[in-house]
Amino acid sequence: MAEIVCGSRATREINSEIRRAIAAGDRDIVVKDPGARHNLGVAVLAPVRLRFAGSVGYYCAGLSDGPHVEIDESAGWGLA
Amino acid sequence: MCGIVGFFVKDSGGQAEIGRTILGMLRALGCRGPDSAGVALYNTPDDGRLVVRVKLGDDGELGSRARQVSSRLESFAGVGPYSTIGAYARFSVSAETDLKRLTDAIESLDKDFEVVSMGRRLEIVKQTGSPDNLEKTYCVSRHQGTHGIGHTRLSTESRVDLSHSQPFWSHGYPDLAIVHNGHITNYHQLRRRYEQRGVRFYTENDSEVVAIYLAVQMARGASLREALERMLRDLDGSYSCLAATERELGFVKDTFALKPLVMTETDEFVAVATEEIAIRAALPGQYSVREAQVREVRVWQR
Repeated sequence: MAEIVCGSRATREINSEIRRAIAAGDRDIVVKDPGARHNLGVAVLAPVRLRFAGSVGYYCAGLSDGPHVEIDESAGWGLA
Repeated sequence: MCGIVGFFVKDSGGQAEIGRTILGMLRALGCRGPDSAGVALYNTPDDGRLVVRVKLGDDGELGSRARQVSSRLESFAGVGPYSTIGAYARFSVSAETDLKRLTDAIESLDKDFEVVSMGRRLEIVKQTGSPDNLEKTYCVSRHQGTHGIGHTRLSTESRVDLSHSQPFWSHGYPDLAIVHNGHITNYHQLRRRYEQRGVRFYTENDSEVVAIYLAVQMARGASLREALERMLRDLDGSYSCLAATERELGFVKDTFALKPLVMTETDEFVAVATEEIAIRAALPGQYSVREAQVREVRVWQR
């Protein structure tokens, strides 16, 4: 299982790390401390389990095809 | 599209870093409205005097304009020394001052002069540009107090300048300020009605009517909660609105619930914002955030 902690990182960097984990063969990815950021987990094109441990903002998992996405708390508009 | 935020500290002794928190919340919402940014911050009362913030103008030699206002106020008893920062002059006046006469004396000097806020605890600063620019000019983050509201604006129906920016002070009603996200669709009807009664509108921004409406209701004896509840009856359109007084923070969400608003309440504080990211970015810790409901009115009081 891959664990990605958002901390103070930019969304683009977090999304790149999700893609790197998928490329490395991870099929179970947890994103911690998402902080209700927008555009998390966009354009994921693999049958992975992607869990956001917290709230996400707008357009989460947008333009994605294949992943199973779980969000522990709230999601903003435009959820995939 | 705009971003609004509110922050209320339950037991701070008046020394909470409200400026830093509200600025942090506004920064997270900066992309919702790059046109202007502003805050209304509430200090701890010190000596019972009223603080008057005057917009001196949008450009030009502001120092001489401040002196012009100051010399005009010499005839008023109980007017203290003034300071200037950015586009504003800040005066402290005795609580016994005739506020209407004082405002008229200042604003009749020049069409650019405007009393932007007045109150025992209220201080409003706003300007065009981003929250970062607001911090550069006015060091908002250094401000301590008990509660406050803030706004980032994407203009959709009126011009972009300091006067059209939010928060709006309810002219004539000390310490009452509002921020609004949405559109008031019966604005022109309400405005005509108020103007017939002699109320002056300073802008063409429909949000201004919210400030005037609440002041009219509260001057008739309504509490802030009652005034916000009456808004649901009398103001049409889509709105999420925050209002603050000397001791209160409140919000109202309209019948259509078209404009987003979320809130959290802990033992220490209340935070309300257009998007959850504003609360999460400015306030670390474990708490849950929920969406404000249709026609919901809440008021917190200290």
